[in-house]
Amino acid sequence: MSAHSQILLTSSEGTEFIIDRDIADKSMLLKCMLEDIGEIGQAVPLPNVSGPILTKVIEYCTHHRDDPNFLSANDDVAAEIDEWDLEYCKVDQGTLYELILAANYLDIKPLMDLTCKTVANMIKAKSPEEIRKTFNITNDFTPEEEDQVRRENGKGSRRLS
Amino acid sequence: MTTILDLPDEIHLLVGKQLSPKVVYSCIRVCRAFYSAYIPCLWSNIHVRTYKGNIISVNQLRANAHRVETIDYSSTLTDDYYTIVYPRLQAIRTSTYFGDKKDPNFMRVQRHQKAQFARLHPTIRKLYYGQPDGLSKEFWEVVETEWKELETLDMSSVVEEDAVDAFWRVCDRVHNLSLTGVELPKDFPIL
Repeated sequence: MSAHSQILLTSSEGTEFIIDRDIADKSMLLKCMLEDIGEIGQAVPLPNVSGPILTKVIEYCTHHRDDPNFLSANDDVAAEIDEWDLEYCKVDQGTLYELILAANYLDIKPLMDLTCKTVANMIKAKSPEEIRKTFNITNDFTPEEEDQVRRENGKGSRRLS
Repeated sequence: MTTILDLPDEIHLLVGKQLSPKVVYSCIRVCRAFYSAYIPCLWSNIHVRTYKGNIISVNQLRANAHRVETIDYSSTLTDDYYTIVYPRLQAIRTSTYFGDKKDPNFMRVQRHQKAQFARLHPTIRKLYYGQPDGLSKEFWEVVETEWKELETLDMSSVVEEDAVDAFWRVCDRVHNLSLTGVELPKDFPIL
């Protein structure tokens, strides 16, 4: 089987994407599927991924095409995100979450790590109220529940104070 | 538009791993959905010790005991910490700090209480024991018979004479064994 063979994917809207096999192999879902059933020449439907998101995912896999550390690149929690990846994640929140869901579905661990790290950086060093503002979340706790959460989790413990 | 609340909990867990406990504590106070998504990050792996007069209280631990998988118990805890039941506990580490020696509670947990704790936690797979007081024969017999899943034992403490046989039988069973700091009784028959 040639490494340069091509794979046909269809997004949720039915748009077709032709990508090289080595790009498809960055997704463990596609890699396992192609290994199991072989390249049957038919389009692989991806009903959970929209065209714009699939374009973005392919962009990521293409950029990291020859990256020898692809699978271990983001294992280090404290490691800085490299410049290209940082730029890549400068998208609106809706796109970011859809990218996470697509990376999860397609099983592309480095893209999962990168996008989760991006969300973590948006949360970092924020108070509950600041987190609500950042993500446009409404506080649905009753005052009693808020008290209980504080009682069971706050104070008394150095790591939380 | 997809919002952060559309992400499944498993993804929030990955995000939570990147955050400090202080920030996770912010997360659980955001809203109910964030509470359920992030609270496992706060309690799955905890370190219980006195530090500058502060400690996680027994009541807090009891309220969250079902979330605890890995725990580190320091040497200044009192007996009541050994009465808490953690139904999903996988690993326990006990440790000693220099500062603890000034604490009036230093090393005052009853030996029977530790054996009782062992009896209540048959799910433990990893034990790291580093406190200077030896564990009783009763403790090792409980480990031998009740801890079916034990795979890692890391001991750096005293093994008392009457406990040697049970201790040895436990050692014989585990896959990962480290006995670097173990003191055995004199005339101990080396096999």
